[in-house]
Amino acid sequence: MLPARSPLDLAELRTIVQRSTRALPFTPAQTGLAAIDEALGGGLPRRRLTELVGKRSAGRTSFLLAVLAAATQRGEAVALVDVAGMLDVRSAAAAGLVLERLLWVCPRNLGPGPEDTPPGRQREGEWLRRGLRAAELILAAGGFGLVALDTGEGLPRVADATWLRLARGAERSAPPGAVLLVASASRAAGSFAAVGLELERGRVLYSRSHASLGPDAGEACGERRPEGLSGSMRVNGAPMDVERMPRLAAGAGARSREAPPPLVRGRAVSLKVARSKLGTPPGTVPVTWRLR
Amino acid sequence: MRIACVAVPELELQALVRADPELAGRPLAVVDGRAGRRTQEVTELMMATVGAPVAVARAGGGGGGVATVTSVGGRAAVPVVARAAAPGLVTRVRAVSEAAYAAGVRAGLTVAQARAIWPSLEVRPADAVQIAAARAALGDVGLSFAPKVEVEGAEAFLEIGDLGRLFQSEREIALGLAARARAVGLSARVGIAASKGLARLAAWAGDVEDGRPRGESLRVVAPGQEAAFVADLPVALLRPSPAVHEALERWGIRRCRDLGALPIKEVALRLGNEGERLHRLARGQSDEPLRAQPPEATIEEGVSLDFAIYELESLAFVLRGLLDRLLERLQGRSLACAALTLRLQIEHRGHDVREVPLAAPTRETATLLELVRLHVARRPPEAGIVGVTLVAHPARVRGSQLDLFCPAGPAPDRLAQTVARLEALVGEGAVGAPRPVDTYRDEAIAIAPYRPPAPSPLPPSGGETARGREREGVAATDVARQPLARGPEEGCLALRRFRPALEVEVLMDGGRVPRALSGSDLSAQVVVAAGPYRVRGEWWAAGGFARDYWDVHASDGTLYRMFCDPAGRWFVEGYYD
Repeated sequence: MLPARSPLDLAELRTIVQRSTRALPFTPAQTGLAAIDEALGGGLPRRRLTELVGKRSAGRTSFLLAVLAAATQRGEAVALVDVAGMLDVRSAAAAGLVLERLLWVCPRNLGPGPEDTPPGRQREGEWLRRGLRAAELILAAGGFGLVALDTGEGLPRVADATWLRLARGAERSAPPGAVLLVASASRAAGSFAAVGLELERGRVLYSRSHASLGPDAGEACGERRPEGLSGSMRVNGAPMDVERMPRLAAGAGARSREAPPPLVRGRAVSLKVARSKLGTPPGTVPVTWRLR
Repeated sequence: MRIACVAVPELELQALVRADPELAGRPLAVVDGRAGRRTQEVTELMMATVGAPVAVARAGGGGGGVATVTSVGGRAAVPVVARAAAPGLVTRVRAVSEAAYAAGVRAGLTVAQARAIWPSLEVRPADAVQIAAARAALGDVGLSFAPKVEVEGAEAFLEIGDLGRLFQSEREIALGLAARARAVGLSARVGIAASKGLARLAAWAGDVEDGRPRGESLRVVAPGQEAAFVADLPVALLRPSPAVHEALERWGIRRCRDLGALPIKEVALRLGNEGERLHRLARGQSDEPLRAQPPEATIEEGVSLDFAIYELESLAFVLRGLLDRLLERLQGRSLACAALTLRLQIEHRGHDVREVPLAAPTRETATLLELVRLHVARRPPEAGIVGVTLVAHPARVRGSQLDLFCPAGPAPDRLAQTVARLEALVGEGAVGAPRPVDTYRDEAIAIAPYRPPAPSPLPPSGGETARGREREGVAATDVARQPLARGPEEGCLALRRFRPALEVEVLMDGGRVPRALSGSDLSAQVVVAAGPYRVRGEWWAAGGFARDYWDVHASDGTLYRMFCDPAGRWFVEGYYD
């Protein structure tokens, strides 16, 4: 039989529950790449803002899609605020992303119209402003395991208050807590990011598949080999490894849709844990992104 | 069989008060709808030119006429009484509130007479939409207790014989029905008896002043007490036709006891079938069947506005009241709103009908209001709104069992609200679940409504790292016993698109291979070029295309994917990132 009055009053009980809830550990969100998870101490921290910085072709999009794919494969609902409209849906599917679980928000007008012109600086700023607001709304809705914000190429100045609101939004997300991942070409969130990741370009991997296509492969797939290139070279400081260079036959092959895979087969990059407020030690993880 | 009757006195008046609760307790008179509007227009016209004869051309009806101000009331701001010269302008009061009744205003008076009694009397036209909604709400009161309900005028009848297991007594049922009616904004009288006719008598009997029922009442006629209950009731309560009522008056029959004492054959001979029916009822016998009606597929609440609304905030105010009433009715029947239709009556332009999609059935006013508000804000009506109707498509609320081993997704109602806000922010068609399109154009993307499937069970924790487990509180020794599975060290290289593709100038090497490219956002030499790979599609249609694709490694370290169209224009589609 229940007592008529509990010895604990409601306020005390609420305090106990809140204290115990705060003490609950939040399982990090695994990225799907074991080496990176190891370096991050289990994965991306939940209820925190993580910043991912990388130049063009440094693997920023590949990393973003990999993290999203891992979350959707765990059964989580995820959101991608794509300020630039960069999402390639075939790449996303190839990365293993369960598209039904992805809420894609594209502040950029994708349809035909006056906005579908080469963007100006002001318009990019407006798109980014909308994207930041959209990320806030999604975090406030709750239930998303990962909210990714891709700020696009150029990053107009964003007020600190905006990053603060986003970080607070992530902190307040309901259990199991949302990962807020901001991907940009340069540092943006500054000290509001709990973890800062930086991607650096490595060598480019080329296909060997032309030899297997037979003697006419060269007719089908042209390839230009720069003069004086032999084995490997450095481009803009990044080493490039040319594994095989068939003879030049550009323009000869007008292939159908069943074209051979592109010559670019992948790229090696290094992911660096540049800074962390969570005690994660700095480190660098080599990762290879391959075309599938 | 036990039948309950829920009767709503002055339904037209209560429908008005239900839609505008501020009218409760005020002196109020309901007049005919169209005539009421004419009266209002005439009154406004009078107030503009007090004391002068006014040509009532815009009033219409009765071929126009001349109305004269007969009393002013001291100031022009006080409503004046208009005496209409044309017959079409004479409107009569159909129902009055308690306060107006106490002041002496009676049904049947003209508006002028009523206002002469009480100058500040509120005169409102009867609104057919509100009356229909009030009547439907009355049916919902019955349906919240029993599946077999008949709504007849201002009365609802329901069979309550099976409710004995849920309620201790029939009085409790009556109390519950009255409370339910109050919840939907109606003040009801409840009667319970062995038949439909007797239940009606029980509902209307008692608490009557000058033949006008006063407020709520509850009356249960116990089995076997029907004749005794009916005996003292006035014959008028049996609702005889005017001719029969006059005949009974002439005979000196005032009470049911007197009518029941007459020989039935003689009554039937003189008053026909109606007389026979009244005689049986006066003896506590009624075999009137309950004609149960199927519940309506949709639930409607509406309001006609006196003045056009042009602003969203004003509309939101109206919508909130409608939604409150709508959801209260749904809650009474344990239903939720699965879809919502908004019908706006537009000034001079007919109707604007909009479907408001909902992710899941909900009964939250704030959620629905926000969704409707955003929907209207996205595409405002072209003219003022003079009428609003909300139609809810009900559905059963199905509770979902959360799984301890599955991540909980976003709550459907909050998700729908968030998606609507996002669409308002970034535009329609830019929010949803992306999916590939069956076309050769790789850049094509389709957006489907975002409805994430139910979470699937979490995979076994084989991919977890030692540190991650430590965070979860798993002992290091336990981790050491289990093999640490490693995930793939490689990921999938993704293409990052430019939308739209960037047009660039390309310098060709001997006219065959790209050597350098230059555009608004990039300028680089080509280190390695691979291609072309021709992609053709839709050649059978006017919008057919053909592209020669190249993958180039530019000197800035970026791996671009570019193509050349048949016109010789070059575009950078994106880069591998």
